Amino acid sequence: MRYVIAGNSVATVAAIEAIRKRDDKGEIVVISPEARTAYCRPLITYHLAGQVPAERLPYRQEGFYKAQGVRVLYNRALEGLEPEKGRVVLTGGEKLEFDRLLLAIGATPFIPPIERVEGPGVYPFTSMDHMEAVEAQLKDWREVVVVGAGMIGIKTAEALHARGVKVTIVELLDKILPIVLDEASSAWARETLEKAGVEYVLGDSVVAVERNAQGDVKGVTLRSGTFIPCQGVIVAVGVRPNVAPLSGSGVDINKGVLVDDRMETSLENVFAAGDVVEAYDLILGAKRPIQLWPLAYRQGLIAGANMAGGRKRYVGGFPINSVGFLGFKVASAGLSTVEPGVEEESFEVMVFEDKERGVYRKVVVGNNRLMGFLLLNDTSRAGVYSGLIWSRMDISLFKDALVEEVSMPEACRLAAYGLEPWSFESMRDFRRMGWALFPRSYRKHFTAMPSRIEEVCAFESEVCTI
Amino acid sequence: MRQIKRRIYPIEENCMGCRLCEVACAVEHSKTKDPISAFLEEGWEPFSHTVVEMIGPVSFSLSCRHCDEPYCVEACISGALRVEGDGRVVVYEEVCVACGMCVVSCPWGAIKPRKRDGVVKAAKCDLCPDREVPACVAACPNRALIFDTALGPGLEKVEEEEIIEG
Repeated sequence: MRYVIAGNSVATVAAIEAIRKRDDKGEIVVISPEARTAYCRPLITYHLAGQVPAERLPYRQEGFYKAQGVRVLYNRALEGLEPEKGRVVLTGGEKLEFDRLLLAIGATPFIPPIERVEGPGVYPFTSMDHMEAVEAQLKDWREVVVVGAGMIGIKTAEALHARGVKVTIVELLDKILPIVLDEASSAWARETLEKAGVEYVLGDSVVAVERNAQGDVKGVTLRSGTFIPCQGVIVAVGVRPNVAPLSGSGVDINKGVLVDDRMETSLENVFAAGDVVEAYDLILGAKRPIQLWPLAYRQGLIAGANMAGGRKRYVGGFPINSVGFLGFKVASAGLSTVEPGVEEESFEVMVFEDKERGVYRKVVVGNNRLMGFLLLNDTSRAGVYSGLIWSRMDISLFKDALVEEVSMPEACRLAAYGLEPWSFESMRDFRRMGWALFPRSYRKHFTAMPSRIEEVCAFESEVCTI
Repeated sequence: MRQIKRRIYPIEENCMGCRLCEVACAVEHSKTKDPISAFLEEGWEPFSHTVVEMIGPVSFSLSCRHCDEPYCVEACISGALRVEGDGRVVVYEEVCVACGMCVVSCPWGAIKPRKRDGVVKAAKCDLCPDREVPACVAACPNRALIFDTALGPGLEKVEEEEIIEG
């Protein structure tokens, strides 16, 4: 049995581990487009900021591939797929036969139509190569424009700011982190940026990169006509599934590669995982690409298990994010952008705000299920909300307690920071959002069994009913 | 391959919400491991990995269950969270970048950011490597926490055959 895995990042590592749990003899070949081991892609901005040294970037310890008995073909990418012959075409026309194939080829950064965007000085920021290119240029850069205030854009801006570069963020939409934050929390984020001295332009887009006679960047022009001088441009407006190598192979592709709940594509023995797939979204109830690290791991694990003859099902996923920049912390999952007050599509939005402590909590409830949440600064209990989304539980009985919780330790801390001393009156009001709220069958089951919440709740519905 | 998977389970019928487990955990994970000086250490706020969930008469002590397929491990962007050979889920603090992904992912709220000497890292139950029985279990006066050291059903290998298709 020969397993071929195209791509070399988190989904690949998860798949290798899952295959090796079931099959220690089969040959595993990994096709790695980059000449490095799998590394922690989200950490490249931390590395640029100087917080993480290069030796901590690899995702698994040294010798991982050797210990797992994996052959890695470095510097080769997937160029084509010939399913009827059961083989893949690699860079340089090399052909490789497979019994099971995993497509974990990821996503490519999207470059919007901007005049003179090709050429030196303009980089996306999704891989080590981009990071090294930017780092090499950094000594000549005094001002940088970051296009896009999404996850990558904001972390890159933070890193460049830490390196002493003057950063201007240009975002097409009128919010910072537009797919995560709502209006109120975006205002907090803007305040954070202003305090740190990072400039931003919202509701505008870059139409042209201005270059001098040598071709070096000297600034960008916005749609409103404003000219921003800069020596470098980072384009971080999102990524698209890397489906180009699969054209003409017969794999069903919409935006990404379509997979069923075993992570198998429309072709037999061809699986897909990671940023390239369009898998089931647990909240929307439809397939869509969600390009996030935890989902890539989960999909890789399930694909690997099924490739090796196991039977695991992907129940679904939803976006989970945790970002911290310049002291601003946000944790969110699911539909976190729904505005409070706007009862769109019968969502019920509950908000708790404490300006002094900088705490903002918002939960979005639809059809008595938790659809999403957004927590600012105080994120220590964020996971409990995620668990509610995973379980798809009816929360109508305790949804009032979801946002306005003050846990006992928190209350102690409040008291220590000079609030009124405790009285039995105030103690009665301490309600905590936690496991004691949940139905008895549910908490009994999941405090005693080490199983996955979404799998149990999808197939044994009585566990999460009252 | 059958192997020992050690876990701590709460029994909510036995728990009376005394929070001794929290105290014991905070003391065990302090510099001095002394019940009095543990709460006075500079830069090391007392920090308990286990949390007593309590509402009205319901209470139980909830800490990491060391899942078979942990949510926190798949969410960790730096590879700091790993499943050890004996089934323990462990934070390698020197690799952790305090991104908070594990905190948002763990449905039990069992992994939390902890500030020590000004540095924030993820912190979770480590099953007390220095002790035979975890401190919280040893401290519980009402046997509301059990330390399960039974042989597990082997990791993964058997599990699939039990599922009936269809």
